[in-house]
Amino acid sequence: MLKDKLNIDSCLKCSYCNTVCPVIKVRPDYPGPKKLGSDIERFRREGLNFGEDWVDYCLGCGQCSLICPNQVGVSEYIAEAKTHQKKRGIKKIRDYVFARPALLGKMSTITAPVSNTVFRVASPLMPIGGITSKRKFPAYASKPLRGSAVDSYKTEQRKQILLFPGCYINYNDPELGKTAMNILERSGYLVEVARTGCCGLPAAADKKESLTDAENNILAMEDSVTRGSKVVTLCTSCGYTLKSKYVRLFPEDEKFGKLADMIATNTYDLGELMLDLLEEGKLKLPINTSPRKLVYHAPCHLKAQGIGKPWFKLLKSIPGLEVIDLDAGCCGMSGTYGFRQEKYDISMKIGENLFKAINENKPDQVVTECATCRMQIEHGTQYKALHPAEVFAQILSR
Amino acid sequence: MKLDNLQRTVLVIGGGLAGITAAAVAIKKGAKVTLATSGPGTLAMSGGSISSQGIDPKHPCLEKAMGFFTDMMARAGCEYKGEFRDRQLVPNALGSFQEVSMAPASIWSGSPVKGNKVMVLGIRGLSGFNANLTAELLTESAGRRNLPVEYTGRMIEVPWLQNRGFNTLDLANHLEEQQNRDKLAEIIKPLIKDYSLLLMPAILGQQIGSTELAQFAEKVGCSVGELNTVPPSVVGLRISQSLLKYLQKAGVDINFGYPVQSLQWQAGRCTAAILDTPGRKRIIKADHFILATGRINKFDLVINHEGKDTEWDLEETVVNEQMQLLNQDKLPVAANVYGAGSILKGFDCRNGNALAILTGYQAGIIAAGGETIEC
Repeated sequence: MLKDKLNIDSCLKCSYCNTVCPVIKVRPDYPGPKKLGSDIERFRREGLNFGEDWVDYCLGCGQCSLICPNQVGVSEYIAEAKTHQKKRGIKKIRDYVFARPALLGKMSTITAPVSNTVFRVASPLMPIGGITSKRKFPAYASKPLRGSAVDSYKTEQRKQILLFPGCYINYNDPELGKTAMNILERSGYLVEVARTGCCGLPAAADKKESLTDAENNILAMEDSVTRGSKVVTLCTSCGYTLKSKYVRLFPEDEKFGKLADMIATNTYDLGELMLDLLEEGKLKLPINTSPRKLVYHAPCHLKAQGIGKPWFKLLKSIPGLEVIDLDAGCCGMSGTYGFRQEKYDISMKIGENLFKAINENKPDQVVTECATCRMQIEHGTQYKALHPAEVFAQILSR
Repeated sequence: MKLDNLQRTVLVIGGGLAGITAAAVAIKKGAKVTLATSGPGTLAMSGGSISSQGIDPKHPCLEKAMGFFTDMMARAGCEYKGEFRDRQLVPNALGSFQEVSMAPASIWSGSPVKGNKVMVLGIRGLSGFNANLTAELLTESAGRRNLPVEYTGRMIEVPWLQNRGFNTLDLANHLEEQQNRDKLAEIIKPLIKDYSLLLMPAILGQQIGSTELAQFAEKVGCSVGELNTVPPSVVGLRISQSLLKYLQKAGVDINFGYPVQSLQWQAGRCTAAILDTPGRKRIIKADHFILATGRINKFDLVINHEGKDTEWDLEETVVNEQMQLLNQDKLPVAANVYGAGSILKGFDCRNGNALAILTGYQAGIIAAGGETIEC
């Protein structure tokens, strides 16, 4: 069954989408994906707009589309409706900035020590800008992850990887990028860091901006991907965007459409690639490691990729590690959603289930692929959260 | 325990009752199991009751399969009551009775007992359920069956739910929290004095299990039976979710959300299933394949025969004693492809769950390496 061939008429009104929506669980007045997605979409297509204020409360986690028995793109309809929203005043400015994490990243990395201090000091004033003062902004690194230029002539012998860093690795945690490069290099790959910007997902409500992001990134990756590089991401939201969003953006443009398709086909989550290597017998895992208990949280955009839980499987295969899949639903953070003043409480309420599951397990470490899930876990529990690649690298280096 | 590389790999296609049972059996028998499902199927829409109608009572696997199922449900935290050879009436929201052999404990508790005075609880604002109508119809249905049971509808206001429309799912989300269930029990308690049973629409949380239900009954001070409502069925959701969690804990690798698009065939064997995932299609290889896709998606998947796509040419699906799917010449379509659940001939809307358990159980055992089915 091809998703593209199905449409709004395939909605059976079974309400499965509502059963998985994290927002409706904590906000009974939220109309839910069935109404906001496929129901109201019929009216929107006739030019009638309602439920407009609510679409902004959708997390974009994509679980409604995932559970739909007829593969109706419920979340895509809501995302589309977000682009027609008219915002005013301070929210407009805030959301403009939030849609452009790369802009903030570029500015803040240049002035890192200063901007980090500014963010800290300005925290009580954040509500004026519609941003909650209850959270800490992630610190910016003073040096973004730099792409190593790869000489294509010298490297034909080795398989090449194009690492798509995304904003978080680029501007906040370049160390994680280096960790990933080390893991990949140990496995015999030559790694090039893509000179890409924001994947465009945060700008989903701003069609023009997300299209610009996609175009720039496609052009930045064109050369390497055409040469046969695999694109690797560490962020499950970037990965989800490269795999499933870009291909829909260029229905009319043959060149970009083809390239988007090629990028989608060749994009791997780091865990996905490593698990493939393990299954092909090309990755040796440590025979033993010091015993510890890890709890693993699967980000929504990992689930949406349909690749299972590769890092969970990988870590579980290492003797000595006890790895528990928390299976406690969405963390509630959803990028900048949890930073928004009016959504902070919803975000924390959604996360309760996950916080509880983590605390009950009393783990040595908490791991999850998504950077904003990690922020939310650190905010809602006493635990520090790591990317599974960090734990993996620690074990490999012993 | 078998070594990892010698372990048989089994791919179960379909996450309904047949697929789940097959996966649970196969992993228990030592196989490495993957489950691919495009969604919760019709299971989460169902009421979960099991009827023995149309199932051969002398089937050699019946006892074992049903025993396995009851045990699995208890472990998953979703207790079942009844025996497969039993028959009992359970009421439903439409005001009629359904004859079942086994049912989720909360549904089973709603069974009519002679001389009972039963209160049917309605909640103002809840759509799709009218307590007074249900009570009236139940009294009538009971009368026709010579069952002296008196049903009385009673509407309550839940003050903290503002007066707007909500459905069973909204209530279930709200009542997921114990303090809200306790508050509801407080409201009901003074009303229940003269009654011996409380019947209420199934609204007590999507994720709660038998323990929480028992706690609620204790707080109310009376037996509590649930009524299945129009979908979304809270009972069905509970069953589906707790079973998937149970499988996951047992070590089954679950691929949720994307349908299997095709099966790859090589030299008379199925070698892999292709999932329609974003970006790149996902290939899942396995030694054995169990098809439990259900009737709706029946053969939406194609067979890729050594590089060439062919549609299934099966009109009616039959399996042999080894649970292998047969082609029109009554020969196995492949040595390692088994069938289970409602895709099989013999299904009708009443015996669906029983057939799913029975065939899922057998397919699971064979796929995991049993030469013959130990029954």
